This record gives sequence, structure tokens and C-alpha cells, in this order.
Amino acid sequence: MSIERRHLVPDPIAGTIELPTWLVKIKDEQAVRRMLFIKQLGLKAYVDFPGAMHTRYSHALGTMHLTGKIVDLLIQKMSAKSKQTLVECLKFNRAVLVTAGFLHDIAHGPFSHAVDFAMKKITGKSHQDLAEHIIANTLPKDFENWTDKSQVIKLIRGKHAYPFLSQIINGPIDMDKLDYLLRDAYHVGLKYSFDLDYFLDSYTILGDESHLNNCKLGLENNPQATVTAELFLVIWKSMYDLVYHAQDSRIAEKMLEKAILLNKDNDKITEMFKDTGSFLELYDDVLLSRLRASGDKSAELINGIMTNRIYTCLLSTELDQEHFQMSPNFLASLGDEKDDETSDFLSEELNRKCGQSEYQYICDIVASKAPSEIPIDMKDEDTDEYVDLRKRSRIIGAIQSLRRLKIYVNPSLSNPPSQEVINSTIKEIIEGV
Amino acid sequence: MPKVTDIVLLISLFGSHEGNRIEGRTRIQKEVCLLKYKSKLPFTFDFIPYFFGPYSEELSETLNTLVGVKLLKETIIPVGFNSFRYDYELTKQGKDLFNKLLKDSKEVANSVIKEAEGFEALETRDLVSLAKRISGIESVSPVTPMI
Repeated sequence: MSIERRHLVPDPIAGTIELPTWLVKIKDEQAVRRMLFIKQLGLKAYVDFPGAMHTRYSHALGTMHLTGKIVDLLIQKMSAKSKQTLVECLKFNRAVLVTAGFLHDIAHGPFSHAVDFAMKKITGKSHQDLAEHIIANTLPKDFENWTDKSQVIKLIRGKHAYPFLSQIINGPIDMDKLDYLLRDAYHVGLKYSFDLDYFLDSYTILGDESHLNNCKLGLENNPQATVTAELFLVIWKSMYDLVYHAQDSRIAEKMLEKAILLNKDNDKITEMFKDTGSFLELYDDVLLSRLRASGDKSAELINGIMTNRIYTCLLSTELDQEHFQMSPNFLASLGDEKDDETSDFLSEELNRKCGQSEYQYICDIVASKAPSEIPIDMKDEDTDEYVDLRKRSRIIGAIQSLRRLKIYVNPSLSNPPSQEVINSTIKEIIEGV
Repeated sequence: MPKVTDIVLLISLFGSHEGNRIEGRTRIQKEVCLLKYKSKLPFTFDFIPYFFGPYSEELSETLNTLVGVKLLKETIIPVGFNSFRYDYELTKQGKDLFNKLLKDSKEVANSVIKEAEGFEALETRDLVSLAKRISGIESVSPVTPMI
């Protein structure tokens, strides 16, 4: 009888993570190892948070670990409630869920979210689209012996036939979010105190198990669930305000994005994103060095990031109807997936109207996040629908999605127009849409 | 993601109500669903079965956006112990936009006003039933438990 060696990895957030057999088999694959060379918080590690040197790989391990943990917990809970169909479904899908937890970010570009928009603009694909391609085409064939790739992809895309399974990986209280919040907070040095096990203990599956495609991941209806969810969402919001949207990091990220966009017609740069083989070799440092060599303006932007001569913030204002008379056309151009495109459009228009070359001014729409609906195990008397957590918590209801418009300017720009001129020009552009 | 017509239709829906106000997110979801499926107004929001009725995540996000840009005011109303309802009404800027739409997009705005007539007289539970029946989105057929 052979005893297989257990592969244990120490982790600052999870304690010890055991690598499953399939991961031991694929951990040296290029697509997997690549995550070791992509910083989880991108340029934030080089600008505002020097402690944030953790990578996509450690986040992938953490998400995988939490996914296994919540699935086991839900199996126990559903078993105690004699929901045998759900128990069997969770057991049957445990392997694909854990795999999806690990692979969900496999196609992040260098510096993570900093290049999302530029990458999509160049390839026409999001990192989730690319993940589908990488999982389907670059992982070894015998990987299929351990898990079902197509189901993994559906989970990552949030398109699994049973939504409650997708919501474990991709939803308002998914394991991805839980891991990145705690991991990022730890590495940037913010000492949030949050009892993860206590929160996970309040997860449940809502709905009639004879209709699995109508079941949802939700929370129990008790003070433990409400209060820990409030704490979790307040930390989530504050991480956006303090870390993910930290101004100088954000400026550096926008400079990087523009350095890539300046090369949108340069095959040498675009091929790195379009060709899967090249993309798998595109690490943080590779991207910086290639952009530095690609042209004067790109080099200037990258050198600015490397030497901390970043753009300065010229204007920061609320983007709302009190400050701008926005038309339905412009309003329809706002939204999580549209803000970057609209920001880029505003940048181009502002530079053109001010008679400047490309990206001397960079416009940036920064949106704070509001939580999506989180159902709890309680029915509304009037509608017979599960109640949204916001209806039980004034704190969660108070977290609103607000947008600010920021304009950054190249500090070496000679004779820049006054703030009043920029203000009136951007107002004219927005109100003219 | 919302299209221009969604914004125009949604602002007009609020404009069509007494005090430019709709009480509760559920009512908004079901009214928009009815306008889309019963009145065939060109809302592009996708509705999915959400436990016991049609629900659109895109509509929910668009509401958040309109609150964020101060076209809508959200008021949290306590309706019992630890229980709240979210009411929405057009702000002054929202009303100005609605009045502008009545001139610039007269046909669309008036079609919403006409089709939404009578919604306010319905209890929320009746709206929910009607939205389920008209859209057919409640129907979820039993499926085999495993993949």
C-alpha cells in the first residue's frame, strides 16, 4: 500500500492549505505558475502599499480553500435539514467548485485589474473570456480526469444551471470576495477584525430543493447573520475607499492603462495580449519593459510610474445631476462595465478641446460600490419572496453607489489651463453628449 | 447595461406616479416587468425567476446609479422591528429631467404614463401576481437533481 504525501502550504490568512491531487498535477503548468508573477493589487504595491506584494496565486489558493470549506459546511447544514437533494448536488459538484475557486482569476493580465480595460479594448475579451480559453485549451488533457472543465467555466462565468453553485464563486457573498478582502487588508497593513468562520456559519441555501435551478446562496435569518454581514460589507466598502481607489495608486494605474492604449495599433504590444502563448509569458515586469521600449509617450508614462513622477489630480468632483446636466445618453454610458470606456472618451475629448496631445489629461470616473441583493431565510408576507438583507439592515441600505469624476494632469505640462477652464470644458463635453 | 431608452422609460415611470414616488423596490421591479411584457415597452432589462417572481439585476443596478447621480432620492422607511422599505422619488433634478423628456421624448414618456395608469391602485401582492402571470417568468420546471 502506498501512502501519498500530503501537500501542505502555509498561508497567512487560511493557516494551512492542503493542495488537492489535481492541483499538485497542474501546479507547474505555465498558466498556473504565471499567477505567481502577477501582483494581486497591481501597482498599489509600488505606490501606496509596499506591503502588498502578494500575488494572484496566493489569492487563488485562498479562494479554493474557502470554497471547499463552505461546500463542506453547506453539506452539513443541508444534511441536518434533511435536504438530501441539495446534499447530493453539493457532494457531486464539490470538485468542480473547488477547481473553479482556484482557477477563477487565471487570466488576469499583468498588474491585475489595472489592465482590464486596455486588455478588453485590444482583444475584445474580458479576463473571464480569456480564462475560458486558457482553461479549455492550455491545461493538460488528463486534467479532465479530475474535473469537468466545462462546468468549471460555467461556475466562473456565473452561468451554471444551478445559480447557488455559481454564487459560491461569483456572487455578492462569494468566496472570492471573502478571500481578497481579508488577504488584501492583511497585506496592505489594515488591521480589520472579522470572524470569517462566524460569518460562514450563517450561509445557507434558500429555495425549494426540488427546483435546484431556483435555489440561491443566502444567509440565515438571525442577528448573527445580519451583524456579521454588516461588518463584512462595511469592510468591503472601506477597502474600496481606502485601498482599491487610493488616489495615487489609481493615477499610476490609469497612466499604465494609457501607456497600453497608446499602443493599440502596435502589433508588438497587442500580440502580447491577443496571442495566448505570449499572454502566458506576460508578467508584471515584462509588460513594463515592453511598454518602455515601445515609444516616447508610453516610455514617459511608464518612467513616470517607475520614478514616482505621477500625474497630479487637478479636479475631483461629484458626477451627479447637481453638478452636471447629464442627458439620458450620458447617463446610459455610466455603469460598472461602462465607466472606463466613458472615462477614456472624456479624456480624448478633453485633450482635443484643450489642444493637447494624447493623454496629457486623464479623466477617471471612480464609482463606489453598493452591495447587490443578498437574500435571507425569511419570506415577505406580501410578496412571498425571500427578503433582501437591505430590508433588515439600515447600515447595509445606507451604502450607496456614488460616482466622482477626477481629472489628472501631466505635471510637466507647460502653461496648463486654469482649473476653472478645465471645469467648464469638461462640463461642456458631458452636457453635450 | 442600461440603454438610453431604459433611462427615459424609467424616469418617465417615476414621473407618472403621484408625487413622482414609488414605494418599495419590489413594486419598481414588477411595474417595469409589466411595462416590458404586458405593454411591450422597449425596456432592455433581462428578467429572471427570482424565487417567486421576475427580477432584473440590471434594473437594480440602474436604480443604484440613478440614486448615485441624484436623479432619484432613496428613503429608508422603518416598517417594523428591524425591517425597512426603500422608497424612491424623483429629486428636483429628476423632475427637471422628466419635464424635459415630456418635451423632447414626448411620445415615449406619454406611453409610459398611459400604460402605468392603474399601477398605483394595485396592492404590491397583486402586482407581483400579475407580473408573474403576464411575464410567465415564475414558471420553473422541476429538474433532475444532478448534472
